[in-house]
Amino acid sequence: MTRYVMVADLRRCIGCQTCTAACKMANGTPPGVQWRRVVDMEIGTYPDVKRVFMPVGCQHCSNPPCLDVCPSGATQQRDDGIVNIDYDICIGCASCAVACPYGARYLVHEEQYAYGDRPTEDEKTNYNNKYLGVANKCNFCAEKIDAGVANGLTPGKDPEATPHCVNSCISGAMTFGDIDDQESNVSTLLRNSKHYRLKEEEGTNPGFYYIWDEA
Amino acid sequence: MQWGAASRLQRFWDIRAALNFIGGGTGSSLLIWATVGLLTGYPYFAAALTGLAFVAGGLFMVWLEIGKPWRAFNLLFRPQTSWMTREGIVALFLFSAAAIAVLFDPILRLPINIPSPVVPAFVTACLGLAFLYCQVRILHSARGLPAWREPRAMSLVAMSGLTEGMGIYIVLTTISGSVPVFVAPVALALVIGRGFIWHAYVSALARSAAPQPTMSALLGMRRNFRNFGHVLPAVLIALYLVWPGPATPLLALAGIAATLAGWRFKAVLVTRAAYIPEYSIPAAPIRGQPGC
Repeated sequence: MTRYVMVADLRRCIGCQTCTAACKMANGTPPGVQWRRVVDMEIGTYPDVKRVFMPVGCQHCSNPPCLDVCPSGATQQRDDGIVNIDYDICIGCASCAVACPYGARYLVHEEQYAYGDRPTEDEKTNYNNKYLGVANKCNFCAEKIDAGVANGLTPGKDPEATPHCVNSCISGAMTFGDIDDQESNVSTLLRNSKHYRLKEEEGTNPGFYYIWDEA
Repeated sequence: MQWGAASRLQRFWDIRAALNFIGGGTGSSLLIWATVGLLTGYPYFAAALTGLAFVAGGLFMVWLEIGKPWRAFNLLFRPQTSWMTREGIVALFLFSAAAIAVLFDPILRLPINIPSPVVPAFVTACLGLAFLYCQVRILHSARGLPAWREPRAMSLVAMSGLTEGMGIYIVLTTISGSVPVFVAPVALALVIGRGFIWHAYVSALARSAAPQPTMSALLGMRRNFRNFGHVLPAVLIALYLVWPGPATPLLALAGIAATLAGWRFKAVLVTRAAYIPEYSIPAAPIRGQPGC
């Protein structure tokens, strides 16, 4: 079996938001929609305070709450663990959005652009209307992965088969791969590190790991 | 700086969604009380029709809210897990059964008679109960929102729906001039029951470390909800029980107060108390070299 997961090394992330920009460029999402964003947190109390940057987005849970509530069947879970949305079926009821404990889903009803009423040059070519009126979220760049796998490439290893956010990360904080493969990059990383997942108590079994120290 | 880390209010469902829970709860329970009234010999037609109007109005509000309204029938695709799908299916049966119950009501004097109009009315009441249950499960399925997923929210929303429907039923029967005997004691029990469940709900939410803005929204309405939604109606109903004749307008006032309070509670629950909790991390990243 294959289960694709994302690993973010919090020791490396510098909060530059390049992954956010890369995701928006690649997917043409409307303003305000950030499938990949980096949360900027302060933790601790003065004087022992730390600043933490944490990339977040859809956690591609094994037990996704968004899946069961979807009344139209638009939210689907692939055999490789990727939770995907069929935008041609979704009715935009937002049940999934309120069910997601990670706030990873978006719903934009009206066409809008980053600067005023007119699209920028980039938006003229990249803006994707298919996200209007329907729930949308990160899909780990599933089309790219599928195309890469079809050409014999390895997701997470070959950039042509790896999500845009991972490819763009300037500090090497983000890694993608198959956690069911014991020799994969993500399996090796997780074996040699201390890590956690967000809101594990929800029982969602997220597919997004956060490294915070060496093992 | 806490960019993106703080708890945030869900804005996916607005007052239109709240109106679905208001209309659905009030309407479905009104159908139930109308049937109970019918079984005890009171008119069914006006109350049932009003109940249907509430349910239909609520569903219309949802239709206005969804992003792709012309695909609305797609919501029937996942009955195996989705409570919204189940709500839609129950609604179809509810309107069918209610249409039979209302159309064959003696008040319309149709030339066709059915053996017993009580049967479709009873089926409608059962479907109304199922509809109400689907609605509370839809709220409970929102695992991202502590205010909705708290188990006591289900009892509270269900009890509030039953209370609101009773409130409207009280008003309708008061206007018609004949208040069924069961109404006042049941209304009193509902109002008191909702008060206790509300208290249990807020306490449980506070214990579960719900987001502070959620607690602020709920605690902000606590006093008015208690006074106008529970204490005032309970006192007025008690007065009616002591002096049934002269205090009938007070009973209607109790119904209005209990209903409006319930509607207000649902509006707050959906639009102001539904916060997605902030991110919390169990450990801070260890950066750099020790001693540096």
